[in-house]
Amino acid sequence: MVFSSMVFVFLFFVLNILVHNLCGSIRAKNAAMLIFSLIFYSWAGLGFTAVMLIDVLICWFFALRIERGPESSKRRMLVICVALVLLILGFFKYTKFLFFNIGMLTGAETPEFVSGIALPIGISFYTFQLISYVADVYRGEVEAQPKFSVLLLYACLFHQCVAGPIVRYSDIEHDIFERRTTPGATSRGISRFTVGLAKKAVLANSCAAIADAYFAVDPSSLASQPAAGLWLAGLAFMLQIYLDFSAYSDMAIGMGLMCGFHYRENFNYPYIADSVTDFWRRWHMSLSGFFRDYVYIPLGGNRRGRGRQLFNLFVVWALTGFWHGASWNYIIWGVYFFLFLAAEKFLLGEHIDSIPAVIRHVCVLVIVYFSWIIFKFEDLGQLLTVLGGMFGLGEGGFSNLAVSLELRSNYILLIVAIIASTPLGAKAASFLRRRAKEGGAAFAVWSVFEVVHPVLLLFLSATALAGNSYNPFLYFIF
Amino acid sequence: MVNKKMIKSVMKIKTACFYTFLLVFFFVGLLWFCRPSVSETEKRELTKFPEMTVSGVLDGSFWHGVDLWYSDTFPLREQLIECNGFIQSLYGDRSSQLIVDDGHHADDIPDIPTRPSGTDAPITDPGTDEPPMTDAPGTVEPPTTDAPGTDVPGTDTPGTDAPVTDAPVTDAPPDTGNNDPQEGEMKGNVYVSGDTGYRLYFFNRKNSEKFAEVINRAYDKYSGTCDIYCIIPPLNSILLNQATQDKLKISDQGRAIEYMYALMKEGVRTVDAYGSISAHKNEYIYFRTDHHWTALGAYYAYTAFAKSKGVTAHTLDMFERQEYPGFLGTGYSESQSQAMKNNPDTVIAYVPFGTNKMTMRQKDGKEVAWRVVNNVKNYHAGAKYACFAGGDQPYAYAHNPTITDGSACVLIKDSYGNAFVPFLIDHYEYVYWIDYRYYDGTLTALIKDKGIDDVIFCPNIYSTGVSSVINHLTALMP
Repeated sequence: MVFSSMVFVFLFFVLNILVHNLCGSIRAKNAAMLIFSLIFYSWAGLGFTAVMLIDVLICWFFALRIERGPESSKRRMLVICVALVLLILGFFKYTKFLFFNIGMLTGAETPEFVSGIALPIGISFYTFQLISYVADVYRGEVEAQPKFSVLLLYACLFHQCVAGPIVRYSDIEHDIFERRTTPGATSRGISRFTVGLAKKAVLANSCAAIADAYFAVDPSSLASQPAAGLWLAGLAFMLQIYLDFSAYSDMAIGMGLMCGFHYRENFNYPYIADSVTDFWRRWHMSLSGFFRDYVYIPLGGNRRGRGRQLFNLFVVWALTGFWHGASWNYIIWGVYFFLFLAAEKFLLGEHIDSIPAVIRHVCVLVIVYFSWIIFKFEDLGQLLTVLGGMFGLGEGGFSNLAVSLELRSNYILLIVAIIASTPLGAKAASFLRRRAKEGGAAFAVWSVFEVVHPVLLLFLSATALAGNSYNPFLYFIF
Repeated sequence: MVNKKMIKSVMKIKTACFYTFLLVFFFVGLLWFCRPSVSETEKRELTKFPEMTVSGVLDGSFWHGVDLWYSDTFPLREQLIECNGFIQSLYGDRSSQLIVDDGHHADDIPDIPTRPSGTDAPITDPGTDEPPMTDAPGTVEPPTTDAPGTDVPGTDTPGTDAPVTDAPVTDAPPDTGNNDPQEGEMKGNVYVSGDTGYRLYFFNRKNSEKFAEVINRAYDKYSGTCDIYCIIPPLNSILLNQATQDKLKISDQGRAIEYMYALMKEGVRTVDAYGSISAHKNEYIYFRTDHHWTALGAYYAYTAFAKSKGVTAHTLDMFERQEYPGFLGTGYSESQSQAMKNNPDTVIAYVPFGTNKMTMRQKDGKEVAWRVVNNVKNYHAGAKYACFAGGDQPYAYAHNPTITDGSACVLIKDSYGNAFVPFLIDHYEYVYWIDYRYYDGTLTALIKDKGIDDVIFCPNIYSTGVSSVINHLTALMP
């Protein structure tokens, strides 16, 4: 089930809110959330649920062993636990890739069973959540959860289990046992949820249609796409991927607030970043935070000299790329960012501040733009074809009628999507809220805006979802 | 100044409005008896509730089906889609759009080969040295209008397909066949300019040559007993000026038809519908909001057919004229163009004067008495083309009691042919028409059983390039 579907918004979510609010005790609320989450996850198939249950069982068992066992065995328990869940992740996510590469190198045939391996949705997200939990127990930062059902609720909470944010156990431990909702939090949650839904259903899906018109064509036709069309598709995809992914986090955070859960922010308008380092402080923050806390720092971070730091950064960014998908383009994508991050850190250093802000912003946007082209094409041949086509090496010429019509038909959409990728809307709402406190007309305007915008956005989303068959969230594949 | 209580009140109203809106949609979604099974706007059957199986539940396909069913049959879906069409019209200047469905690559049309004089052999591609596609050239026979075969009945009951003449003819819409995806017609590319959708044609050399082969096959099999006619109606993009056609890189339909005709054996009576229609480009020969020709366009093709057959075409003033305004066809359903919605088409029909009675066999096998030109005043805006010939039925026929020579023809058609049927009625005692997409009998049997004199192939030019169409036609002639 995806958030941007009629069945989720108008059936599942409504029932969930109704039941959650009707439950009196926190125990009943948790039981309801667990049941709803398991139904939500099982929507993709009961087999996937079994994989998640096994993962949770492993982490629940080992976390208790780590906490209660002798000091000498703790590290071993941690290693075994992490190795087991990574093995499961690796089996489902990377087996095909492994055999593909073995086949390329040796000519060996891929075993038949490999083609039948399906990727459980959200496995990359909940695996990392569980690893962070066990690691935190090992470090003594959280207590091991004795109740399996509570740990299961943490891992499978439908708000975030399939596409993030990657929530730490410590973030929501308190909410699991003592959450309560307030009119203010519910109101913010409603706004956040509807903004996210509209970002996905209206903007991201529409941008996807533009990108697909040039990128998702028959591979043999890629070379004949005009350069302007490819550039336009690149822009549309850049907007799509942000709006799509951040929308999911918005909806997760919004639904959490409506039920009393508080999740970390996952995005902070990454396209206004003024350096690549800044971009990654704003993009998928929960993932960056995970790699920082559970890979980079344990490897030594910047404490063991420049050479080691460079190595650590390389490992982190290669892994970041590999986490996104079992294909070489994702690894290239990660290493691509590593190169720019390393250049900023070691070559530019503090000199970066002397570069005019406009140039810095433009450079980041260009770097990020091309990163998404790399990200988009798992087939390296197609990737090169598109990159060549963008620079006039294709057979499609510069432009054609289709491109100009596409642009003309969607220019307002693209402008709105660009604005939605900046903090302008949030700042305007914040300004209105501040002015409203002074009373008078500003309060009236704010009141109307507050009451109307969620309903309007929900209605817009419903119209878009009704006839929209293109709505799988991109990050489900991770 | 505004106090906290006032702000809290606004938040409570906001929350109440949001939940009310959600609940309204929730309850609407529960009205299973209001769920439609057919979308008139999209002209397709909506998703059915999936069958529950253990494997479906385990692998998630059942739940995916529920998801599709829920959104596809949501009671307010048609209205929501209409709203979405309006919202999308705000995305930019959509007075011109290009809706690309299946790529847009056109093969070059080879030079028209010249036919060696005095031979019935098909003309081979001048670029190859391949022998003729068949080895049975045969001789050209004169039209045999007075040799209907031995099974021709002398009553109103042609052959064994007894018409249900007692069945009441009602105004209720029949199963017009419009619910199924219309192979070879619906799929395609549309250029929308203002209130007109132009169906684009891209020549597919391989399939076009195969189509000519199919016609030659029919000629080889049946030329001893009947005449073979081929009419290829062009699409309405012939109305575009040359500069726009060049920009769209669409193929020259006149040349493509000429090429296909040139590959057909000399004995095949190729009908120059293109030339006849092209001479009337300033008239209402194509719908603006639909991919079909109008009855007037079909009439001009009929005049070319009459010329080819050597009979005098009836003039339009001999027919009773009926008008059905408010038609919004496939061009509208695909583009949701507001300009089209504001200026719908009018279906103008010409009632055959010999008889307007017909019998059709629906896809469920049921035979129904109907009208050749039916009253569609109360039909849905998207279904008014079903005015002609009972729509896309597998098999239908009409007996014209004013002609008693036993003459019979069969029209092998897609929905383009529907508007052509009324003009045939007054030239034969028996007119049969089969939709090659749905007919499960064979042409061989039909010719034998009904004593067919003329076999008339009438697929629109797009269909001649679709491999499934070739397969359907081939299957008619085992």
